[in-house]
Amino acid sequence: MAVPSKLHPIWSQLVSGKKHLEFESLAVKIVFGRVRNEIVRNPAAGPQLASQLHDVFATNETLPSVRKDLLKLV
Amino acid sequence: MKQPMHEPAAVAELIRAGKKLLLAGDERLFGSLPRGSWVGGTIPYFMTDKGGINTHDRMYVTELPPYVPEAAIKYYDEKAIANIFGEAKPHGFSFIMIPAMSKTHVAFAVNAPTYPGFASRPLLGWITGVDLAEVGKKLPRIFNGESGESYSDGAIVMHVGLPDHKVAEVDILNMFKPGSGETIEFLEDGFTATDALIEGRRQSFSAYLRAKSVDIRLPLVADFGGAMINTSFQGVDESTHIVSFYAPVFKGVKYKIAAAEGDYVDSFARKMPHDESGQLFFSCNCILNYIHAGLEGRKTGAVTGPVTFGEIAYQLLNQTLVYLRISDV
Repeated sequence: MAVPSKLHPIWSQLVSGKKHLEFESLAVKIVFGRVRNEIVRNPAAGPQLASQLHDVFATNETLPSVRKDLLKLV
Repeated sequence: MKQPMHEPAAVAELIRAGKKLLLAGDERLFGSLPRGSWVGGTIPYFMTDKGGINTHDRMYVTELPPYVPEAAIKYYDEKAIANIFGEAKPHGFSFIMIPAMSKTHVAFAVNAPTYPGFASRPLLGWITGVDLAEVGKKLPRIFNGESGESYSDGAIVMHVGLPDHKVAEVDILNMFKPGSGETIEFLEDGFTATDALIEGRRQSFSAYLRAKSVDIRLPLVADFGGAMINTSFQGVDESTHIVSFYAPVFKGVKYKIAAAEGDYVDSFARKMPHDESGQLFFSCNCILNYIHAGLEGRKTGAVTGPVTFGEIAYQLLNQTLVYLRISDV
């Protein structure tokens, strides 16, 4: 499965906590945890944090764990 | 994993044969090695297939597989290290060593998650150290085998490219889980704390630890998107009421004092994924686990490697086993 585009609502839903998923990839887990903490500290940073979350998927999409995580997104 | 403990003469033969190596050992042993495609860091503690050992005579050797087409060695100072993710191979992994207690150790610990492209490529490695009897007398070091230089600050990195049919993945094994006690938050990022928010109420953190009789051999644990990340206690100064840590705590992150899961070796055997297909390429474990769990002379299965003053999986970790698997795509 391809990585959803940066404009896909899944990223902002994950950052805001409207959607919660349990991931397998360590890289995704760490970045997801950090953006979830950061959105509490800085609510205006939502779009930038959504972009960061997209990017960790996009740059790691060949990893087996990230491929499994991609299937959970949509 | 192959038997990786070698005397320096055998390591020198591997280097002369053109092998690409990741080395760990006592500082003295590096002096006799020829230049070549290797990086190294100091530590005398290791997990081996015969159990945990402290040796100043042999080195732990991790040999890159022959299918690795390229491995670029680069030294970074405390500022340039911010470029590490951007300079990684597009398909592969990067291996890093940083001397404990150096400026780069602190810079990486605090800032790694803000580096451009953080976690965009697999990064693993460890914080180099010395014999615990020599802390404060000798400095941990890192070595660039290509140039023959060694450093007590900075980071030595091997950026490893992999062929298209191979993929590398970093993961961790944390034997601790968040305990059932109060939620702890800190007022600012840093390696020390005086006050903390305990269930939202500000109070002296050292007084809290004393009142609760907290065993500070247990780390703080925070849930980062499902990854349990430890921050270990370094100590409590009862005169200044300052609590110090081996990695920074971060404002806004919710921590718990860890709960241990029984005997370390028994828990390890239950939790560590088996490596029947020989995909496990490298692992390292923490000196605090080695000490607190009494790992000297005890075995952790086929999972071996240096015992370190800090572990790196994208960012600095404490009291955690870090490992890298290389598998077929």
